[in-house]
Amino acid sequence: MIQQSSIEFSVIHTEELYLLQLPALLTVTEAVAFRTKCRELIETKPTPSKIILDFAQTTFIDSSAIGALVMCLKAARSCQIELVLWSVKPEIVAILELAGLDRQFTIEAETLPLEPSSKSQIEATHPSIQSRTKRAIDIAGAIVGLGITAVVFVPIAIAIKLDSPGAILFSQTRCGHLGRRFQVWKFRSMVSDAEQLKAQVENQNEGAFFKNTHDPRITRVGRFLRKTSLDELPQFWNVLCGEMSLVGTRPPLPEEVDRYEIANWQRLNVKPGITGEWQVHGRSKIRNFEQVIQLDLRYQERWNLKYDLELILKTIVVLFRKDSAF
Amino acid sequence: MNDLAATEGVIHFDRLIVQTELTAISQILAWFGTFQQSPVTQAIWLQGQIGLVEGFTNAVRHAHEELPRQTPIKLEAGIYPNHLEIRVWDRGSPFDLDALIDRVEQAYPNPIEHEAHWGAALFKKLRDQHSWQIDYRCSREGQNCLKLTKFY
Repeated sequence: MIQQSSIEFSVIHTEELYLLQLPALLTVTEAVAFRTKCRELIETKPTPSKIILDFAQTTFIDSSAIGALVMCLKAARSCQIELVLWSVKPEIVAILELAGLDRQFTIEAETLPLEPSSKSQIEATHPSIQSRTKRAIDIAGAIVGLGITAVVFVPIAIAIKLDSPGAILFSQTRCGHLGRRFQVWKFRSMVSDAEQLKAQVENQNEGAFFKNTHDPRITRVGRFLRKTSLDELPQFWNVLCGEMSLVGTRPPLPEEVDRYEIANWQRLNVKPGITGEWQVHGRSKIRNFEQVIQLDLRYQERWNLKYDLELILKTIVVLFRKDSAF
Repeated sequence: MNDLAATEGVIHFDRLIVQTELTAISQILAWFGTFQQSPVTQAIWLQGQIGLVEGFTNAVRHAHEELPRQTPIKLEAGIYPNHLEIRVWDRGSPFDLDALIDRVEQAYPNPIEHEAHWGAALFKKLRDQHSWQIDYRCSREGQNCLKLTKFY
């Protein structure tokens, strides 16, 4: 017994593109109407090239809405229609992630002005995400960085292997733009069973993140790699893949994001970076979680291409100064 | 079953009684909004919110399918120093939620395959990936209680 609400979905369209504005709550009471509307748009002749689902107003979706979204995605795919979700709030991303669907959908920033324009309160995505120049710098930087990595790879690999048995590289799940999870790559600087030993090591940081200056799990070679930041080199691969940027915010662990207060979600509005404010201003001297968040938010406020380049240069200077890392 | 309001160290407790009507969802969401407070993190609160709504719609659409819309559904939630607990009370005939949760996952290994049964799939994810304790049992006087518990 599903009560159908008389909900109306507003649609804006240009020749080949349809934008469907979704209501504040997309639940079992709206799902039937939503499915019908999606099907109608998908079956429109001539077939649209792109359908945009505008989530700007939406604060909650339930299992029925998820089912309807999956139906819509499958139907669109079978008709070769691009289906894109716009202005998706972190709360909704969290639900899609819970359902294991966050990677199935294309979540895109609002980029095209549509006529007639609707002045709804669309949360602006950070301009650094939309900058093609920033992406171009990232790709160029990543290629240079991977070139350097290739040169030093063999000696580092031998040193790691001789010092402590186990893998050469180390990967860890981190949260990127809008909390999307990815594997960050580094040279291994700890013993192989470091994660299991984590609980035994006293956490010297206040707040929600894990860092310890005199961590006994760090190997001798690892200490050198960290001091020189050589352990970070494989991250250029993450930059090339677009999961990270050369400059950005510090990529948090999923457990850290789980412990975020609402205000901290804003940190996920930009891509994480190999370097950033926290590397240049203080590096390991920063002990407090709130300080890191503050630096991340400051980066978002001040961001422009020149600022990125400045941070890259400052990072290089810091790298050659002695007390930079551990 | 112990009384949630009287459990030691309760930080915030509230109860809401609604009818068997899906339109109550917005009222339920507004009610649960007051549970967005320390020590419940944003992530746990969001998980609790989806669990609560799924529990409620499950009661309306399945447990109370044959019952009049005046049949009350009781919702309770409590924040404690070390856990968040949510209870949804219905008056339908008892059924095996655990079996349904397990069956759903076996039937649909790929998330994109299924358009239905997402409610059970979400419960399974909360239980297996986010360590929520999910317990559905028949109690006194023909009432069923869905209990969702998350230790911080």
